[in-house]
Amino acid sequence: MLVVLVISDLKVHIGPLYILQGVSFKLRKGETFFLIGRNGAGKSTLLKTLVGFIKPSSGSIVFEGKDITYQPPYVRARLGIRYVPDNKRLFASLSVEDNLLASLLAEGLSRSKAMDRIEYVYSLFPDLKRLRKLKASQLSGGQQQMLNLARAIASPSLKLLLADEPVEGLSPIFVSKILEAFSKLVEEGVTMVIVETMPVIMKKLSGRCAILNAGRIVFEGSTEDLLKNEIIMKTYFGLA
Amino acid sequence: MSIEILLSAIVDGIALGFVLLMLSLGFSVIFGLMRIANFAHGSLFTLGAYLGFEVASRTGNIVYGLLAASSIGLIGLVIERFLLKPKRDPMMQVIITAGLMMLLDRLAWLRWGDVPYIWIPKGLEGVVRYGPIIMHSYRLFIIVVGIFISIVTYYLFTKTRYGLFVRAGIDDREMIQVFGVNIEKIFTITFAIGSILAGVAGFLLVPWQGVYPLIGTNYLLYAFAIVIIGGMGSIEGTIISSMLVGIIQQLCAYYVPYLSEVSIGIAMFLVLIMKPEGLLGKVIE
Repeated sequence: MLVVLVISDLKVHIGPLYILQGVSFKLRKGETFFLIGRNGAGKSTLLKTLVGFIKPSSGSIVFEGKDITYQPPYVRARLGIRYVPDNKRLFASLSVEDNLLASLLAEGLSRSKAMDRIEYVYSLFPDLKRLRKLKASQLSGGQQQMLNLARAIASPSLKLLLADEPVEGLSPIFVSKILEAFSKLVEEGVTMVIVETMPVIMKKLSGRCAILNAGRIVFEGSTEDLLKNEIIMKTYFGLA
Repeated sequence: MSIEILLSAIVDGIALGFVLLMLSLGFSVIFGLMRIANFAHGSLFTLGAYLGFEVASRTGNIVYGLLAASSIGLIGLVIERFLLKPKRDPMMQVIITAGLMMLLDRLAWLRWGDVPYIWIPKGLEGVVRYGPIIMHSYRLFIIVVGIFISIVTYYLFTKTRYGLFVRAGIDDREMIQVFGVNIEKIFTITFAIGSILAGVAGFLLVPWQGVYPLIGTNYLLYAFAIVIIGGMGSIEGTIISSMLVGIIQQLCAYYVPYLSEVSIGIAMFLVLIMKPEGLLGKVIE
């Protein structure tokens, strides 16, 4: 299958600290790629570098044949890259609907097309339709996470989704809703990079995964291989 | 205390409130979005006043004066594009805008000197009587223009695509870029709009209080108080607190003139104690 993302020898340092020390991997279209690792391993930094918040010290990021290593976030967004941050970062003073509208108008859609996409998002997350007039800051943690994800997957031009711990701290009901949405994205051929700490997500979605340790990839393989590996399960998930 | 004087003071307070609103709205949105306390904002108010005065007094037409004052937007655009954009460092931006404030005020002093200039448009010199209330025609004119500009600005910030990006950017200026917004472009447009509002506000005050080199910097202190009372970056908060400050200032000017400056400080002090984030503000991390 077509390779859409090529990351080569990516190095990131923040002040005197080297966070990523030469990360390389390739992703094919429609592939789901999980990033695993302890706190401080560089998982979130890698996603922030892919989205354009952090400039790498060296290395390259090529998306669909275009070198985007030093492109600003809005240029990457226009190529179909979306980001779901771990700490939600919603537009707190805007309503649920305006959060979705802002994200869709930002990519240049007309207001009527944006409203059509919002209706599509409401069909995936009916709760958001009920809550559409509320300010994002008034939602519960689970509802906020739903909106966080909905805002990213609302885009009709979505090609690569970067999600940082999308189900962290959520109740099983919300986890299953978000998993359903991810399954739909897989069916639609969206490529995903998911930072995850819960094996249940990997069991459900399956794909490839990599373990990051101190800024380097120390394991790369299929999710099945990873879930069978007792040492990894014990070391990274506390499960034997 | 007669009711006539009280009502006149309130009308004057509303008129001043609209001038303050135009000055503060740009200041507040620029701060909320770009995290810049633009010290040069008051100097743009002064320049708008002088430019408008020069054109209006020569042509005798207030509309030309307003257009000339609006051209301050171009100066704002140049400041943002060539002085602030190259280095988005908060401390650097404070130094640049504070330096510009001193430079522009000094240039105004060199060109126009210390003498206050005043120009009153024909047909708006007198007073209007409505029952027992006596109102200055020009101050009513300010209210009419103020309402119009406020509606247009409010519409711009709350009903348009650009306004939605600005409000989203005030909440999280990094995240709005992730959806495809070129935030640098939004910064430049916002700075220019804020500058237009400041320039027009400065000119509107010429027939009432005249113009002198430090008027904008003096009024900038009101803008600081207004954004603190209303809440940094809050459009609705800025509207409410501008009216509040305008009315308090004018009531004091009518009844206890020696308290008119202090009163705003007291209002700000009380808000800071009871609601440090402002009436409608939010905590900015």
